[in-house]
Amino acid sequence: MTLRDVELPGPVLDRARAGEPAALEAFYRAAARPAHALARRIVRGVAADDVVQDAFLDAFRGLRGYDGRAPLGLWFRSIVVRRCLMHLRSPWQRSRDWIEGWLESAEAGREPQTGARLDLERALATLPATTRAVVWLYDVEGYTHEEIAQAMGRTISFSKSQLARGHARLRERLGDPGDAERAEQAAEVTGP
Amino acid sequence: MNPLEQELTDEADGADARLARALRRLPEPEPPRDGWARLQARLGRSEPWHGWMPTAAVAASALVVAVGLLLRSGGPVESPPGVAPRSSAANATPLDVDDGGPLSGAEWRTRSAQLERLLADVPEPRLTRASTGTTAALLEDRIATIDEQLNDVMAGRVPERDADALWRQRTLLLDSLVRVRYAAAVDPGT
Repeated sequence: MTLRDVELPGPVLDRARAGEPAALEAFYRAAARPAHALARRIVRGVAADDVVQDAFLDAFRGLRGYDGRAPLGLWFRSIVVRRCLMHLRSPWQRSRDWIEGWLESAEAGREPQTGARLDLERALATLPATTRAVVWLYDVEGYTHEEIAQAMGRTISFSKSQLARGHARLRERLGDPGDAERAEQAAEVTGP
Repeated sequence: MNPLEQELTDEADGADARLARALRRLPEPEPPRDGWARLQARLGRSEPWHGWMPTAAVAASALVVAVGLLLRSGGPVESPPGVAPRSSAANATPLDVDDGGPLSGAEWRTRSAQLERLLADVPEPRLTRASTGTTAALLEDRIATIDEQLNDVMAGRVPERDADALWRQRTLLLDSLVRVRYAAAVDPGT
């Protein structure tokens, strides 16, 4: 299930707009899992949980203005993505991510692996944050390059080059050639 | 485009498509169990829009200090993203723990004790962002590691000459921890 599929019955949505706690909880229960799935692919570690919390608060505050023209799930997805990208742009957050990453790798006694073959999940995590965000938004969330460029405040060429770079790095880190196919088979085995 | 170029392009497109399919099939991470409870707690109090900015700046400067320390203590050569030059005002520390001028080991120990008292006075926030909690925990772990090394000095397992450097590192990390804790106490949304 993705955020695109998230819906609420009309009466529940109306009560959520009015701020009724039970209806807000229903919204949370319906959207939390796909929202976390999205945020955790773009934002590092537990910070993703904070990003999702912020996105829900934004959504709860913005529900009165939600006109229903776009499906609820897509509307909320745009909020989650905006919050993720805000996180990536924040110097405070980037500093914190950096120090946490460094401390974690220092604790493990080594820097993050870059040359060894990794599984797809770990290979994705080694991509630079912006590249990872472009790859995920394009490949999984179905964003177009135009939409990614708009969300990131960058050009379409930037989105295209980041995607190409991300794919190349993933293939390199997964092993080459036939890497993607193996990754797909592995995902089929471990998938939901 | 000649046939070979076309073939190579088709091959790359096919690999990209397979990669995209594999990404879509990755298992979904579980959301935190206490997610709704934390959200409810935040809903229950009025959070000012952008009210986090001043405290985030305070906390950011704490990280600058910590990152600087890590870089000097054998960390990676590259600078972390978003870290301002050390001469900027954002790097000024309230206790001037790293303002140049060599301090003796005794002075570092005194400052460390002052920071310990300050830390004890920082009130516990009712709520803390998970990521802020992680940062604080990592700093605490680092301090604990240094404490173990200081114990080794006292036990004679590590040369006495290393003690001053360890006390300096401990003081700077403690300073960062005080700032992070202070920022979280002033605004739990940080």
